[in-house]
Amino acid sequence: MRILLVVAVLLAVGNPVAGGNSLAAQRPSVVRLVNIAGPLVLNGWDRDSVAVRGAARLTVSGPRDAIRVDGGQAGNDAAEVFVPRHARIEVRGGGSLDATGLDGELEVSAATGRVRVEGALRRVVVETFGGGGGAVGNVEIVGPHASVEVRTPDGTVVVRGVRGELLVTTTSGEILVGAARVRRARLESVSGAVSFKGVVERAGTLEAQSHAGDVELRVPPDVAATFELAAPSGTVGSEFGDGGATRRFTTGDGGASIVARSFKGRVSVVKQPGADVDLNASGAAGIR
Amino acid sequence: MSDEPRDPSLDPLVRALPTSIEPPRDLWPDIERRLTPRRRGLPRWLPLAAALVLLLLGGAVLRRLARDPMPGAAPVASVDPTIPVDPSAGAERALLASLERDAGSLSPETIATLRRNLAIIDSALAESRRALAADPGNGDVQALLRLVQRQRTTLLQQAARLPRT
Amino acid sequence: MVDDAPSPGDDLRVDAGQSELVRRAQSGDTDAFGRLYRLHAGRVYALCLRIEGDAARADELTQDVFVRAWERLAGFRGESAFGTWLHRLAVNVVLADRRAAWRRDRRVTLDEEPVALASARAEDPGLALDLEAAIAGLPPGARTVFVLHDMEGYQHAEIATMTGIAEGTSKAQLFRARRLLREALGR
Repeated sequence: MRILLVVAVLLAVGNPVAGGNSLAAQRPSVVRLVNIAGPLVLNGWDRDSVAVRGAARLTVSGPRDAIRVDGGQAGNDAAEVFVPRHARIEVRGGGSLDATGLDGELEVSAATGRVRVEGALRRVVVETFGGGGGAVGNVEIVGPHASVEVRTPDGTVVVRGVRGELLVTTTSGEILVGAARVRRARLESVSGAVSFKGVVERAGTLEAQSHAGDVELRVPPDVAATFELAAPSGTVGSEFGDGGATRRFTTGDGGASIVARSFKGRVSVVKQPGADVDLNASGAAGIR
Repeated sequence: MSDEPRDPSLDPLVRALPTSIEPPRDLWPDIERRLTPRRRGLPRWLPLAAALVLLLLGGAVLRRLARDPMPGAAPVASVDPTIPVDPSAGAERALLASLERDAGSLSPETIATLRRNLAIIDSALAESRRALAADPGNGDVQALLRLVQRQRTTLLQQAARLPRT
Repeated sequence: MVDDAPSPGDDLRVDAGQSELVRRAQSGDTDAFGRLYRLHAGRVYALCLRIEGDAARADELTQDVFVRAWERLAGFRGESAFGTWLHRLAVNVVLADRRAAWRRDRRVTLDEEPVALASARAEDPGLALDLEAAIAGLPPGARTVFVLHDMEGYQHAEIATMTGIAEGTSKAQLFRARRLLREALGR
């Protein structure tokens, strides 16, 4: 049985901690995890400490307000790290990441494997590069996060349950957004499909574009928005208006702005009752 | 806009109901028996279209081979002179130069990802530019062109931030 | 190794992936149509069951919907998602059945008050199941309008067009349905 190794070391302010297998500290405002080569499992917990489970060969150090966890982990065994749920977490480099139970901020950069984040964070930023290789579900963000940004060259980006702001940009990846309630959203792919199912808040904006992929929006039948749909070398279909290569029309009193464009794919807008309800969400995610 | 407000005491219960209920038995065998046969087969124009596609693809591959006979020695990316200049072009050139310098310290997978996606972007840029030449005032094509240019910059910036080995 | 586990976003990708199945079904491929059936049977059955309030009839109508969809598939041009098109077709099939039923049985009128509603709560402690039972116990007219408006998202004007009743009648039926449901559920 794996044992949770927690060595609680109370740190003097600003004092660096000598490298060790695992470590705890007082209330860190930032936890940085750097170059952890194998799979990384990140768990938010209610303690003001950082801990590593199992035999992961990680080095934990830093001043107490900025803990650093350094990599070295190799092989297929996951490194499981517990971090204060409210902290700002930065993950740089490394392989795949599975983060749960966080409600502060999470910034992931230069990840080369799959990234999955579940929780209710104030802000999530994920940048991956490679690791796609056609793999499905390269990036999956689940939960009522207030702000989500994802940048990846390829693979599939799934965002489920976001509440607030959303930016997803990819070159050849596919973007799938479900159960969303957004104030401001921009979804961009060059060759991949873009699918949005959700609600755009009153006075909110949604811009979904792809050069070569299809763009599909599923919004509530009672949406009040100004729509701008265009597919210069593709086709446009909408359950809200008449045919034509370009469509600009308003529903209700037009509170929100919704733009969907595809250069040569199909743009479609479909009426979807309960568009911001996620029927596949786990109870823990609290998306309803 | 809704024609009638939701009932606050019922709405949460209604939303909690499943939108899907599986039939208690498999209805497909009964349905299948009732389906009238329909003409199957491929459209007559399909073989011709397939031949045309093969011809075009073959030409493209030959042109590519002629231009890039040794993929391993090819630069990370090239700047297409036909692509309209955008405000980030200078920054892009600097990023490209930096990536060319560091190509040896990036993983082969990273280089392959970068090349593959830059090719997609450059093809999209060329397509948008042709459309814009035919219809210069088309705001939608302009917006889509800006999207692709933005993505090119984002991709290069991301690659430039990757850790070097 | 083949991984059969569902992938993230599968449900969101479903509509996009269906266009190929639709194309194959349009050219006569019953296997493709069978896969479309698997994807949509639950949604269609739920609609039939809730409007009809009778499992056996919902079973028959679900079959009718898919047979009708097969017959009309050639006319589907992809201007909406296949699921939306099928759902609209299902509503039409079910409402046609309701109109026929109303003609068959003049005793069922829009003014009928339910007698079974009060017992719904006692039969099952789960609120969701309570609501399903309470909906099933509504008079047919009120049930139809409640399902279409509050569950399926149609507006009164659309319901009036689809069912052939006046828009004011649709509003009155919804008001009645909600009142009966609140009473039945003790809310």
